[in-house]
Amino acid sequence: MTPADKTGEDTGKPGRPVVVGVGNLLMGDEGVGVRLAQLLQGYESLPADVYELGTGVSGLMSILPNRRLALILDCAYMGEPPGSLVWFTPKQVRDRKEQLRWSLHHGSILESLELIQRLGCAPRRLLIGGIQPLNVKPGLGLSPLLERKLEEYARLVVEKLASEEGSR
Amino acid sequence: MAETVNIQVDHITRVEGHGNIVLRARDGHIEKLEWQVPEAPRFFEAMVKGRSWQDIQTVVSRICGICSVSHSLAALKAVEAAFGMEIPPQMQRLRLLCHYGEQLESHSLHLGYLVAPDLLGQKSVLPLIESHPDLVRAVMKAHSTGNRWMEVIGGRMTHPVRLKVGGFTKLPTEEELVSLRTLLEECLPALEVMADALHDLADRLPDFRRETEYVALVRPGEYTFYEGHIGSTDTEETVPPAQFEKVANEYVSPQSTAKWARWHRESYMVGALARFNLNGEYLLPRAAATASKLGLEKGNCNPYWNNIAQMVECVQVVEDGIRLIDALLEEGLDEQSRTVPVTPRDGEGAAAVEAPRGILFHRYRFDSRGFCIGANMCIPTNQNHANIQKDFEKLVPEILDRDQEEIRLMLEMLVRAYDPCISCSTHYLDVTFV
Repeated sequence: MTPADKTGEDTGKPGRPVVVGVGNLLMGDEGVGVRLAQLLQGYESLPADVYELGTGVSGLMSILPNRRLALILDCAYMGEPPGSLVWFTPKQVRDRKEQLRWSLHHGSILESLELIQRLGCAPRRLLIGGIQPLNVKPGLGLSPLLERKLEEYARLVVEKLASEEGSR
Repeated sequence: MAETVNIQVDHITRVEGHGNIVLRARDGHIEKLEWQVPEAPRFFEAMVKGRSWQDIQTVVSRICGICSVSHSLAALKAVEAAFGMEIPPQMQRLRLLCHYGEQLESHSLHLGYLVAPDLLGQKSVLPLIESHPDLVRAVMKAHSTGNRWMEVIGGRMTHPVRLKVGGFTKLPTEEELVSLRTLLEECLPALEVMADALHDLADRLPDFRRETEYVALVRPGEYTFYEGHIGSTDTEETVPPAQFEKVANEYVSPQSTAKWARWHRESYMVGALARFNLNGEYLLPRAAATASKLGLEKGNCNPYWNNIAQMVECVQVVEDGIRLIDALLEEGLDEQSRTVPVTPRDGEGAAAVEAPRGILFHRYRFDSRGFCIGANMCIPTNQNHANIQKDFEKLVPEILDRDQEEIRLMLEMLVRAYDPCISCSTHYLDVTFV
C-alpha cells in the first residue's frame, strides 16, 4: 500500500485512520506524544496507521490529507492538572503562540491543519489529544508522572479510536 | 523622511525560535540597531556526554525536525572519523540521496510558506490558497516528495532510523528506488511552477548588496552537500572539516545568547547562496538553466537572493537524485556492503555536512569503550548571526528615509532570507479553550 492509498489521495475515498505523535524527546515532557506513538506502534492490531513525527510537524501535511479520522497526540499547556489527557478539536481552542506563526521547525500544528482544511483535503474528523506536561526543559526522559501514565494514555487512544470509528 | 524611527520586533514571525529586531534612529542618526537572539541555550552537547557511540545519532537527530538528516549525517561521519572507519562508496551515495530529500523538503517549505507571503504582500501562506492555488499545490507536492524521499532511504520522513554508524540498518529495495525515481520525475513540473513564480516576483526582492565572505563545503568538480573541505570566497585556502574551529572562531556577543562566528572578516554567510557562490559552476544542466532563468550569477552578494539559490538547489537535488538512483539501480544494491564493523576506540573525530541552511559541524571525543566524553556542534544559523547584524548596518542607512513599516518589513525579510533556525527544539501547543 502506498502513502497515497493510505491517505485516499488517489482513490478519492477517505483513507485509513491515523494516529500521529509529535514532540521533542530532548525536552522532557515535550516528548510525550512521541513516546506514546512509539508505544502504539507496537500494537499490531491497532486499526490505524501510527506515525511518530518528532519535531517534523510539517510532515502532517503529507500524512493527514483525506484521512477518515486523525488523532494527534501532543504535549499541550491547557491549564489542566499535569498528566491530564484532554481531547479537543482545532476549532475548540485558540493558539496562544501566535507569534510563532509558520515557524516550520516549531511547526504550527493548528496552522498546518488550517492549510489542509482550506485546500479541501482535511481529515473527515480530527482530534488532538493534549497531555498537560509537568516539566518541559532540556533533558531526555519524561517526568515520572507522565512515564507512569503512558500505558493509560495508550488505552485511552485505543478507546477513542474505537468510539470514533463506531460512531461513523 | 521620518524624524524618528523606532522599530522593535519581538519574536520575528516566520522564523524558527526567538529573534528580535531593534532599530532606533533620530534625525537620520542611528542610535541602536541590533539583531538580538534572546533564546535560552539548550546545551544539546551535554545530552550526548556519557552516552555510547551507538546513541549519538539517535539523540542528535532529535535536535531539529527539519535538519534531522543533516545532524544525523554530521554525527555519523564524526563518529566514524573518531573510530577510523571507511564507509563503502555505495553507502555514501545512499546517505547523500537521503540528504537530498531533506534539502528539498526544507527549501520548498521555506520558499512556499515563509518567503512567498512576503513577496505577495501577505502575512502567511493561508491567503495564497485562494490567490495562488497552483503555487501552493506545487509547494505541497515538492514538500511531500521530500518527505517520502527521506522515508524511503532513511526509514522515516524525519529523525531517520536507518542511518547508523558503519552504514545502514536496512537498505531500500530496488522497487522502492524505482518508485522514488518516478516521484522525483513527477516533482520537476512542480518545481517549474515554483521557479516561474519566483521569476515573476524576483524584482520584489530588495536591491541590496554587501561584499560578503561566503563559506561552504567545496569539492573539485562537484556541487557538494556532503563531502569535501571548507572553502571561502575570500581565499583559495581550504580547511579540512577536522579543523572547523579555525573557520568558525565562535565568540560571544552581548546582544545574543547564541554564539557568533567570523573567519577572514567580521562575519561570514553560510547557506544556499554561499554554496552557489562557491560551487555554482558545477550545477547540473537543469539546475544551471534554472539559475540562468532566475538571473542568479556567481558573485551575487545580495542576501535576499539566498531564496533564489534555494530554488536552484531544489532542482539540483532532484536532478542529481535521479542520476544517483539510476547509478544505484544499474550497479545493483550491495547488501554485503550495507554496514561495516565498528570497533570503538579512544579517539576524536569531526565532520561537516551542508544542512539546508548552511554548513554544519560536529565533533566528538570518546573513551576507549566508545562513550562520549566531549562534544561540540556548530550550527549554520549561529554562523550567520553576525552576518545578519552586518547586513543590518549596511542596509539601514540606505533605507532610513523610507516609511517605518517598509523598513521593518525589509529587515524582517532580510532575517527570513537566511532561513534561520534559532532554537531547534520545542513546539508544544499552548492553547486556551474558546
